[in-house]
Amino acid sequence: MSERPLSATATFEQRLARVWESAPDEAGWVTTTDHKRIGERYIVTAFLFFVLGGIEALVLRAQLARPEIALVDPAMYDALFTMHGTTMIFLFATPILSGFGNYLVPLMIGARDMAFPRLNAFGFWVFALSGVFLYASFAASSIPQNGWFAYAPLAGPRYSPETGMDFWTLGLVFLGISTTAGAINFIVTIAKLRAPGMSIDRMPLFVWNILVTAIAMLFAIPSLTVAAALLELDRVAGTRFFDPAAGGSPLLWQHLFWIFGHPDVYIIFMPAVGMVSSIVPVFARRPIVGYTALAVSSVTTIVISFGVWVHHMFAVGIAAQALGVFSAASMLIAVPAGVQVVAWIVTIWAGRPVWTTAFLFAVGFVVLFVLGGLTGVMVAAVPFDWQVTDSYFVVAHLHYVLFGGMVFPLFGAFYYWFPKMTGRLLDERVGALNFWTMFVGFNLAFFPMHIAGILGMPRRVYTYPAGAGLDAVNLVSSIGAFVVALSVALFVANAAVSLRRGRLAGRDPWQANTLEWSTASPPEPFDFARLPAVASRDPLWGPKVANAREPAALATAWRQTTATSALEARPELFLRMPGDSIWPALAAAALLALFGAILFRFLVLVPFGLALLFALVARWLWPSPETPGAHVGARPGPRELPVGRAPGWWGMALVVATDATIFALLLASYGYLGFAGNGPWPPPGSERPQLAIPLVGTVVLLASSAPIAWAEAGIRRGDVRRLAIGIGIAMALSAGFVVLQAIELTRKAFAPQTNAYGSAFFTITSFHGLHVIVALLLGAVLLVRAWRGGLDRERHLAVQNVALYWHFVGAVWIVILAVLYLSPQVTG
Amino acid sequence: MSARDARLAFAIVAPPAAWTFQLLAVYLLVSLACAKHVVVPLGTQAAGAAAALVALAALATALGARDEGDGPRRFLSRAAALAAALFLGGIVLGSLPGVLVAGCA
Repeated sequence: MSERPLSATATFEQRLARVWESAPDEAGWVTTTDHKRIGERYIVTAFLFFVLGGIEALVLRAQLARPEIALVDPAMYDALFTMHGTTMIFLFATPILSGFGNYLVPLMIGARDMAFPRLNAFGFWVFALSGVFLYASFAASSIPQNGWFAYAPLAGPRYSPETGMDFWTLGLVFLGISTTAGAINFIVTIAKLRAPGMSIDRMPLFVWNILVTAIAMLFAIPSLTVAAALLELDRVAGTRFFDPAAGGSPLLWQHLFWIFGHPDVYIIFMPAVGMVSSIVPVFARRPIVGYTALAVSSVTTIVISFGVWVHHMFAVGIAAQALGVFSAASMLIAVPAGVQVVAWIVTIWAGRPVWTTAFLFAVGFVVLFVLGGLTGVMVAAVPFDWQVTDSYFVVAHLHYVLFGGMVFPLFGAFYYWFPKMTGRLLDERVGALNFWTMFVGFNLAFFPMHIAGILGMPRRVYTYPAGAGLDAVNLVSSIGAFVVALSVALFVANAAVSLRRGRLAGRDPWQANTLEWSTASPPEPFDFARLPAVASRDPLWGPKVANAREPAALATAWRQTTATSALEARPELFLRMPGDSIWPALAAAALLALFGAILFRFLVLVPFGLALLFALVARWLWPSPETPGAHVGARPGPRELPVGRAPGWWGMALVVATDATIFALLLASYGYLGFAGNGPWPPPGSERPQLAIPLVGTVVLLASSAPIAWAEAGIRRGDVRRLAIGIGIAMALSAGFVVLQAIELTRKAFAPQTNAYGSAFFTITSFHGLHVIVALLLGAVLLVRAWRGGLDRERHLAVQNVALYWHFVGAVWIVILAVLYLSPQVTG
Repeated sequence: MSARDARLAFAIVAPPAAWTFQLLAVYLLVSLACAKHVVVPLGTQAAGAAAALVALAALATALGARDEGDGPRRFLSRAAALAAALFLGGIVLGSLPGVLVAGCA
C-alpha cells in the first residue's frame, strides 16, 4: 500500500489507487506484485533472451553460409546451437507468453490481480535468475554443448565431465519452478477470479488457451524436472540411471524428455493460437466463428500432445505395431489443428477485414502454420521420418511450427496490445515493413532447409563439403536469417520511437470485444474501479457491461477482488489479496544460491540453503497486517450459503497434483528400468526388500493423518488447543516414520551408486522422506502460528492446506510401498 | 454431485481416458510381446474395442445431454460430444496398425 496521504474528499478511484499502487522507489520496483508490471518484466526479459538467442542463430548461419569455413570451431558451434535452442525454447518462448498471460488474463476476466500475486513475483524472479544462471556458463567458459535435448549418455558424466551440462540440468530444474508456479497461478486465477457472469462458455479464447497451456505445464514440466534431476544425480552423486553397464537406460532419458518435449511444443503454440483467436475477430469485424469448436480443439490438442512423445523416437528401435499406434496418434492432432484453421478462415471470409499490422501477422501465421502442419503430418509417417530423422528437414519443420506458429502471432500481439500497455500505438507503416521483411526472411531462411534435409544434410554439423549440392540452399538460408534480424531490428526501433512519440491510443483504438479494452491505457494499478459483470461472450460488443456488487468500504480498505464459481462464475467470496513483498525476490535469490552450491559441489551448504529457502517462504506466507482476516462471503443472507473453497486451497491441490506427477514419473522410471533390463529385478546382489520395518513405518505414517484431520476439524470450531494437540501427535508419528526409514536405508547392502536399481530405490525413498520432513516443518509453522494467535475459526486455510499435503504424503507412500517393496516379492 | 453432472463428467473425461488407455495398453502389450515374448492373445484388439465402447458410450451421453441445462452445461455437453467423436476416431485409427502391421517387425 502506498504511503501517499489522502484528503478526506478523495474519490473512490483515488482510494483504490492508494491501496493498489506499489511504492514509487527502488524498493517498490523489487517488491511489486502488480500483474501488469510483472507481465511487462517477463516480456522485456524474455525479449532480451530472444535477441541473445537470435545473435547465436546469426553466428550459426554465418558459419554455414559457405562450405568449409571456420568462423567458429566445432566446440563453439555445438555450444551455440545448444544455447540457441535452450534460450529460444525455455527462456524466450514460454516466458514471453507467460508475460502476455500475466498482463492480460486478469484484465480479460475482469479481476484486479492474479490469484497469488506474490507467487507471481516469485515466478518472475526465478525465471530471470535461472536465465542468468544458464548464461553464467559463458562467463565460466563451460557452455553446455549437447543440444537442447541433451541426450544421455552423451550428456552424462563419462562423455561430458565439464560443468557445462550441470549449468543446463540445474538451470532447467530451477526454471521449472518458475513455470510450475506460473501454471498454478493461471489455473486458479482463471477458474476462480472471473468476473460475475463470465461463465465457462463466455471466456475469451485467449484465456481458454492460457488455461489449457497452464494445465499442460503442470503435468509436462515434472517430466523435464525428473529427467534433469536424474541426469544431475548421475553427474554429481554417481547414480547409474542412464548407464547401461549398470542396468541404466539411455532411452529412459528420451522417454522422460519427450513426455515433456512434445507437449511443450503446444505449451508454446497454444497461447499464440489464443492471440490469433483474439486478433482475427477484432479485425474481421465480426465474432469468431466456431467458438465451441476452437475451445474443444485447444483442449483436445493438449490432451493428444501428451500421447505422441514416441514420435520423436521412431528411429530408436521400437516395435512396428507400437510405432503405428503413435504414428496414428500424431496424425490425429491434425484434426483439431485443421478445425482451428477453418474457423479463422471462415471468420475472415465472413467478415470485413481491416488490414492492420496485427492482422497481417495473424494471417501470416495461418499460412505458415498450415505449412508447418503439413510437414508435421509427413514426419508423423514412420517411413518418411526414418529418412529425414536428424536431418535439416526436421530443423525446417520445427522452425515452421515454432517460429511460424509462435513468433508471428507474438509480433501480431505486440502490435495489438502495445497500445493497451503503453497508451500509444506502434507505427503502422513501419509495422507493415516489419511484417513483410519477417515473412520473406523467414521463408528464405527456413524453406531451403527442407531441401537441404532431403539432400541428406544432417543437423548440428558445423560445416559441409563444397560441391555436395548444399552450397546454394545454405547461402539462401543464411541470407534469410539476416533478413529476419533486420525485421526484428525494425520492430525494436518502432517500439522505441512509438513509446515516446506514438499516436495516443485511448481506451480502445481497435473497437475490440474483450474487457481489457474497457480499462484505461495503460490500466490503473487496480485495473477496474468497478468490477464488471458480464452478460455475453464479447462483452464490449454485446449488452452494456454492468458493475458487479462489491462493498466499497471493503474494496478501499485492502486489496480485494471477487472470487467466483468455476463453471457459472457466480460470486462466492471477496478475496483479501496480499500486498507487495520483498520475500518472493529473496526466496528466488536463495534458490539461486542453492543451485549455485550444487553446481560448484559445495554440497555441505545444500541443507542450509534448503533451510533458508523454507524460512523465507514461511515468512512470505506469514499473514501481514494488511490481510488481518479471512475472505468475506459474497452471498450473505438469512441462512449461510455454501461457498466454494478459497483459491489458496486450490493452489495447494495443484501443487499436490504436480508433485504426484513427479512421483508417478519416478515410479514409472523404476518400472521402465526393470522392464528394459535383461536380467531379474532387483538385480543379483541387490537383495529383495525386507518388509518388517517398512510395514511398521507405513502404519505409523498413515496413522499420522488421523490426528491432522482431528486437528483440522477442531480449528473449524475455533478449538486451538485441539489443533495444537493434533498437530503435535501427527508430528511425533511422522518423525517416527523418518527414523524407521533411516534405519531401513542404512541397513541396505547396496548403495545408490551400485546399479540403476539402487539409484531408483534410494532416489524415490529419499524424495519421499524429504516430503515427510517438509510436512514436519509445515506442522511446526502451524504450531507457531497457533501459539501467536494467528489461527482461529475464521482463519485456518493454512491448516486445510497442510492437512491436504499431509494426507498426500501418506497416500503416495502406499503406492511406493506397493511398487518398491511388495512387487519384488511377487516378481523378484 | 447430481446424476446429471455425473453423466456430464463421464462424457467429458471418458473419451480422452479411453484413448490414453488404448495407446498405453498397446505400447505395453506390444513391448511385452516383442521384448519379453509374453504374448496376450487378442490383447491389443481387446484394448481397442474396450476403449471404443467407452468413447461411444460417452458420445451417446454427451449427445443426449446437449440441450439440457443452462448455458455452461449445454456448452460442456456439446464440447464433450465433439471431443468424444474425435477420440473415437483416434481409437479407430489407433486400432488399424494392429490389423495392418506385423507386431515386432
